[in-house]
Amino acid sequence: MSALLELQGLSIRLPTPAGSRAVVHEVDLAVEAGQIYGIAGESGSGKTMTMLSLLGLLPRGGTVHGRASFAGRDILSADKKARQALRGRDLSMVFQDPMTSLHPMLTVGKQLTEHARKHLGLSKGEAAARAAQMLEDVRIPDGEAALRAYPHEFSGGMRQRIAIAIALMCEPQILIADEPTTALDVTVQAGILALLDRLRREKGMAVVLITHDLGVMSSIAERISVMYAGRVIESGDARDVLKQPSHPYTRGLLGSLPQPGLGAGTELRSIPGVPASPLDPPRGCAFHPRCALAVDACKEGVPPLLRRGDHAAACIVTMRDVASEEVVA
Amino acid sequence: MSAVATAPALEVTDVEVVYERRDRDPVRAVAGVSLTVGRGQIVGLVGESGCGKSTLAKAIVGLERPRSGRIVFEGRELSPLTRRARPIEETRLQMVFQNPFSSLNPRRRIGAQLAEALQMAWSGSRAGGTGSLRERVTELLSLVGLPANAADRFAHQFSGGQRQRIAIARALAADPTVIVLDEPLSSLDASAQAQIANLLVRLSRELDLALVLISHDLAIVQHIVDEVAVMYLGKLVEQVPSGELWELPAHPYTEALIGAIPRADGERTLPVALAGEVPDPSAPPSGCRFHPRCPYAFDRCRVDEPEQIAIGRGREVACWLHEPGAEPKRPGELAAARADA
Repeated sequence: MSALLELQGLSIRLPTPAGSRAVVHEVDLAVEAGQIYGIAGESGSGKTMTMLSLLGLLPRGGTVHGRASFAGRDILSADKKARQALRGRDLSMVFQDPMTSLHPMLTVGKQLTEHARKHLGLSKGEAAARAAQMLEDVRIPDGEAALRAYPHEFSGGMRQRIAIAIALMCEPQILIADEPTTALDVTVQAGILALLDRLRREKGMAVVLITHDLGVMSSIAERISVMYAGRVIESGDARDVLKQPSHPYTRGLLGSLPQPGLGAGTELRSIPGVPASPLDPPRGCAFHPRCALAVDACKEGVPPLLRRGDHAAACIVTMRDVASEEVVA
Repeated sequence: MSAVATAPALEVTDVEVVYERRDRDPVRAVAGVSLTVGRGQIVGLVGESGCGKSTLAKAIVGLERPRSGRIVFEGRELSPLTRRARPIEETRLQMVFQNPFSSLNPRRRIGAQLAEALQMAWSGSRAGGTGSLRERVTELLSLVGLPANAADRFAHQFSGGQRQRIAIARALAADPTVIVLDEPLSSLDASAQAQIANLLVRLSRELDLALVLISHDLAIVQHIVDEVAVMYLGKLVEQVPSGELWELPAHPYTEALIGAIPRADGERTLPVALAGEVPDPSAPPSGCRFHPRCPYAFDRCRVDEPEQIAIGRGREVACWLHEPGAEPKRPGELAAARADA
């Protein structure tokens, strides 16, 4: 069975004052229908850029190379019209800050229905009924009144749930959620994670969940790719990646998380230094200046993704047993 | 010993902050909060957005005028900030804001901004240390783990974590005894978060500096702080040493906050969502403010508002499930015992 969303060797270049620079390098990933696929990484790692490129939303002058297909159809070479039909209908996106993605001057009802009437050809009444149902699904109380209200009348958590309701109006096959809960309280976040998981189970919707929060990732993702400085540096089954992280960066990220139950004064293990700039990454493995395991060879070539079964990591030290002679030497 | 030396670093008593609104009911954002911060102690103030924790932080440093209550800093009662300069003694109470990018000047070099903060502290005759201004700037940067050449650069040339270090360095310029930090970690990536968390603990211990850490992230807060105060809808519901917090939350709201934290253990367990929404603070629920969302609420909770009572060793909780002076127990256990009785 072929994947619903498949990227092969996807690279992105962006214009900078110093000329065009590659910010995403050769990303491969495959999201199956009904799967929650997590992309983890810190700011600047290229996780958002990768997804924006699929929707044709790169900053001006940005270019995409490689292949991306949705349900077997090529996305990158699709014309503007085909792409517009795709985004919003089969593939929708939710952003981190609902205040910037919701229109402040339009009622919630207008924003919910506009979309569905255009893509699904619903009548005004049908669209309104569906919108009210959608608000109930995302647990917005008093849906009728909510449809007539404006975004500023809601709390942050409710606004994000409204943004999700808008994204789900056309029952997309895949939802790209970029840090959907980062601005929210944990109590509200828990509700949104439960909602995404329920939609996957009940409607078979696939989700690409972009987040830097590995706890969030752990609670719903089946597969994970971890990005650093524009490259996927580790990927595999969520359980394997989180329980037996193979890349030193993934290990560092997990180690820097607060451990529940360890009380005051226990020092958090942090990764030394600052994340590599995607515009000017260090030579060789971009993580080597921060890595306790780095050897001389790490400064030379960019390490390839080395596979141990289903679990891949781009590290010639921790994956030494599966690295070929040339890579290590 | 003078009275000042024995006084706690910061004492907040029955503070109430009310926002008046045209044509609408006023909002009691802080509805009577008392909190004591000892010298060199790190206190965390946690709660969901809209619970009033940031308003309380602003009231503490004088950026909001409380309707009633007292804020005593090193034995002196503080008055809200006016257009006039704050008395020099009170500059030893500092604040660090959530987004260092908006609190640093984008067009001035970091060194100049730190030097300005130092000059302000020195002009008040208090000796701000020895050596030249330039040396003091270098010293401040090194305290927060930045190289001396950071002084010659601009805010945009730093990462989020480094900018937060600079904001902390600027607060340290006034040689403070208390710093109030409003969500200092929430705009940072995980690795930077851990670095800044460790830095705050180190600074507090080395400089005998008291910190009030405002945050919505209980997981990281309990690592850093000595004591946690949990706030809900303008009131404190629980105060507890952070070591006991995780094992034995006494208030149902604290328990819910802990249950909602996702664990990165690869087990695909969904965190537990807290039912309902934070109520409108201009019309708080009757009785206990948490009762509409509380799984254990009983009749009394809907009618009478619980006061904070002392339980266990040095803990306080505002919940009808607990008896004054009793050993702390989990709310579920107490609710089950009540149901049996």
